[in-house]
Amino acid sequence: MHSVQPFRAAALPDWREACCGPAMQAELRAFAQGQPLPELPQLAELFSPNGSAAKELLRGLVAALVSGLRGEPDHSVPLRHFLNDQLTMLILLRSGTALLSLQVVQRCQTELPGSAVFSPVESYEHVLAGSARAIRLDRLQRGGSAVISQTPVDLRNGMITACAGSQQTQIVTRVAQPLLVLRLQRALPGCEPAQLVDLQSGRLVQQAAGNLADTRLELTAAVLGALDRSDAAPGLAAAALGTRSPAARWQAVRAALALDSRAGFNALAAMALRGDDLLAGPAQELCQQLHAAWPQFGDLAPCR
Amino acid sequence: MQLPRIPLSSLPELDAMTGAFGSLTNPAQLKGGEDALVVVMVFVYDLLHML
Repeated sequence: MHSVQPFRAAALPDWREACCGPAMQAELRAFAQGQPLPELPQLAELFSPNGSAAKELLRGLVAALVSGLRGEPDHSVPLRHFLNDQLTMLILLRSGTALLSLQVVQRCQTELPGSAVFSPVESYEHVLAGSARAIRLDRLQRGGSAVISQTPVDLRNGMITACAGSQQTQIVTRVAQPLLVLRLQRALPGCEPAQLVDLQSGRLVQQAAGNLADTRLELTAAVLGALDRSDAAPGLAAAALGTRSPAARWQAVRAALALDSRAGFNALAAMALRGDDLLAGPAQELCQQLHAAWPQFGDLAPCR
Repeated sequence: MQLPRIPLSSLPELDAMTGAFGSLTNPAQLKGGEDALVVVMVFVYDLLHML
């Protein structure tokens, strides 16, 4: 059977050189490392309301792809892509967690879903063609509880939208004409989780780690615990007091306690004494339970 | 000092559980690419070669 291969036409490297050459790739690296978009001229130009750079980039891409496919019609486009029944996406450039992609939104699932995911991601979108209705969702704190404010947005050619962080997101709710969007995004530093929130009540429905490092620590703790690797307890105890998310650090301290109760308890007691640690409360509670069950822990370290 | 061995299952979890990275996706908001599967495969590969 003949297999589909990426084409090797010269056109695409030429396009990359012209539109996303070393300068833009350097800017994307800087963006991934946290530099603000306005300080990166080539990238900022792509997301400028009156600029033509985004359309020029698109014209160059289409010309290169069409030329490549004309020469080798049974070959596939050598750009990473994703598609489902609502969205088609081509990844143009990637650096770390920063991504420049081209997306076509063909249709949407519901007028307005009952819940939405808020992720620790900063994103910019430039509508290049089509029109659609979207809802912008802002997560606000009012009187100690979360409220989701909803603002309708009409997306049309030339429009630029931005979502900064885990308190804002935007959902396309009705597509009048398929929407072509250039999108730039990066994961925000820190260890905030992604959260699925009920739009009516603002209540948290589910949450997941917002970055890979947190999940790596959780899975490492689970695997080392299952393998009974007591030699890993000091490392897990140190990670429990490190900079990863509270959820990941809690799994690390649990595994450390199970593998080597001395190393684990010292970390737990240190955690309990930290005034600004979200885990101080649960750590104090567990520390006291362990003191009550095994008084010898009292000679090792205090809980408060 | 003799310290006990504590079974992992006896140690409490936090009130709010947190899923793995990439486990929370909403099809209506799929903007960053469906990389979760690839990321998990790479992670498992790394882990197998680390142990």
